[in-house]
Amino acid sequence: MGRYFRCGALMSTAPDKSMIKRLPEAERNVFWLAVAQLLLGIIGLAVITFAAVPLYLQPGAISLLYLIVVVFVSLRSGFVSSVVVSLAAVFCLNYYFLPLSSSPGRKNPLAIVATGTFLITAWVITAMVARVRKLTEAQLALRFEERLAERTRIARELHDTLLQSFQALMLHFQTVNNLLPPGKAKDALEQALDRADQAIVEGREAIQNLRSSTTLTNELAQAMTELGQELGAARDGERGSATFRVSVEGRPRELHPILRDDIYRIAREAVRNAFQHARASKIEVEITYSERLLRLRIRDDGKGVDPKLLDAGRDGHWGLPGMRERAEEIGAQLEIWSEVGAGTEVELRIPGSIAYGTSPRPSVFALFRKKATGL
Amino acid sequence: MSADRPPIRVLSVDDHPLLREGVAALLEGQPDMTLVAQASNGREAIEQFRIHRPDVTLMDLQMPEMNGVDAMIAISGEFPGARIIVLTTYTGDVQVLRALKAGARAYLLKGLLRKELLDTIRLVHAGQKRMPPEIATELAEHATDDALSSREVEVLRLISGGNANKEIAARLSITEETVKGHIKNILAKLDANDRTHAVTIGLKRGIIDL
Repeated sequence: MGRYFRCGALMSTAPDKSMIKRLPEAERNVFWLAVAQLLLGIIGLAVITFAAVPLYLQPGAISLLYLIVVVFVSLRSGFVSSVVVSLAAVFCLNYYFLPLSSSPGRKNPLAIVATGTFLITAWVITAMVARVRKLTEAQLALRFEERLAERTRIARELHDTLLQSFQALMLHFQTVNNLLPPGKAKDALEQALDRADQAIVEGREAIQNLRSSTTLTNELAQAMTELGQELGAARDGERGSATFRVSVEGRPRELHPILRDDIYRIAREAVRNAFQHARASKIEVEITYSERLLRLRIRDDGKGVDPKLLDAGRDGHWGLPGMRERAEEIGAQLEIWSEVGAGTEVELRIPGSIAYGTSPRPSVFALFRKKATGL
Repeated sequence: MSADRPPIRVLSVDDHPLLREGVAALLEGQPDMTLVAQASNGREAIEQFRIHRPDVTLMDLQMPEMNGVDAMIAISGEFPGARIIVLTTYTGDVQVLRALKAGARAYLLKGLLRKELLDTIRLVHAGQKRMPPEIATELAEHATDDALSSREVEVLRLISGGNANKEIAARLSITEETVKGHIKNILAKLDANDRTHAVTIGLKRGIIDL
């Protein structure tokens, strides 16, 4: 688990946007990704084909293996690749095992039926995979919307009732204050009222934040940088305050406010742990926006956590259960690597389709769409 | 405060009963003021104003049925000498500007009521205007900004309701491209980084309400 500090360019903790270093190479080319996966699928087919004879595999078993490859490709890179691979599979099948055109003009009807069955099975499975995935994403998106609506409702309710009532109560207290003769009691009440004023202002701001999402900027990197500064400043003066760096790979994308909030909160918990418990000298946050996924890594070189403790996720300890729950709720994967004395790395991965909402999984379609709109 | 001068007659308009009670309690202790009537929305405010002709009116902005701005426009139209003080929770410059245009003489934040309400009533009664320094600063800051068009405000309100572009387009019966154009303008005019930032700014500046 020695996966530490291998990230590229880093930035200092200035909140200035221009200081956040961007690494263009992470803008992985969708086309090459699709081609690579396609090639992988073809290679898979070839391996099965050439292994079939020495292993004495029956055509039925071979078709099943082909089918697995096709489904794997459709899971990884979408419909078009899966169609291409399944056609290639049919070609292999026919060429090696069920000669379609042993004599031109006279086709083996059994082979045609077998081919058709194979293709239909492959494409139905692919379509089903795509459909289930779309439904899950739609469900997640709906849940984000519901949560946003609920949050808005709570904010409005708090504003219209609690806040207004407090402001009104302050007038009553002031009336009492006006009735008091000058003296200790009046001074004390005046002080208390000033504090209450302050509390009301804070409450109002909290409600406004609830409404407009907690991270004030869409840039996760900037939010993380500000967080690091805040936590770093809070611990300044104490010995061993860690250096904090944020790096961004790829072009930052717009995220749904609810999703962004949750990502921010998970990351915040991780960064806070690093600052407060790890006794680290370096804390790094790496944010990667690629087509396929949005990834956050939070690394420190501190004292680490016992892996047993990580697995057990002791209740309330380091907020780990909370992080896991939140990650699950937004359809993200959270992984934590740590060993005593070797630091800690937290990785959060959100599939691109969920993270960026509108954009689909990388597929050749997506590539054409991009080219067509000139983006 | 000479006792022979008639007290300042005040009308209090707010949909929140507790706040009206608070204002009433505060005014009760003042020999130079008297609360002549209360109203809980804009329509009632106009009626009460006609009946009582108060010297000073305290006006909330967010109210059911008829809001404070519409009530002020009606009252100022009918009684050009009306002295109205706006009481609100919001600091946004756009909101303030709207209230001033509707005839407000002073603007008071509800958070500052207990300290400044009485003085402000006396000042406005004496014919002066009053603006808290933080609001004046904010007004000055955005004095030269391009204002959002009413369509853009509508789009911003829908964004704040969590609507996606497609839904906004459907609700306003325009194309998604037009929505995108509006959003682009909104971001530019508000100097916002993104939609959420625009909503935050919109709330702060009183372009949209919570």
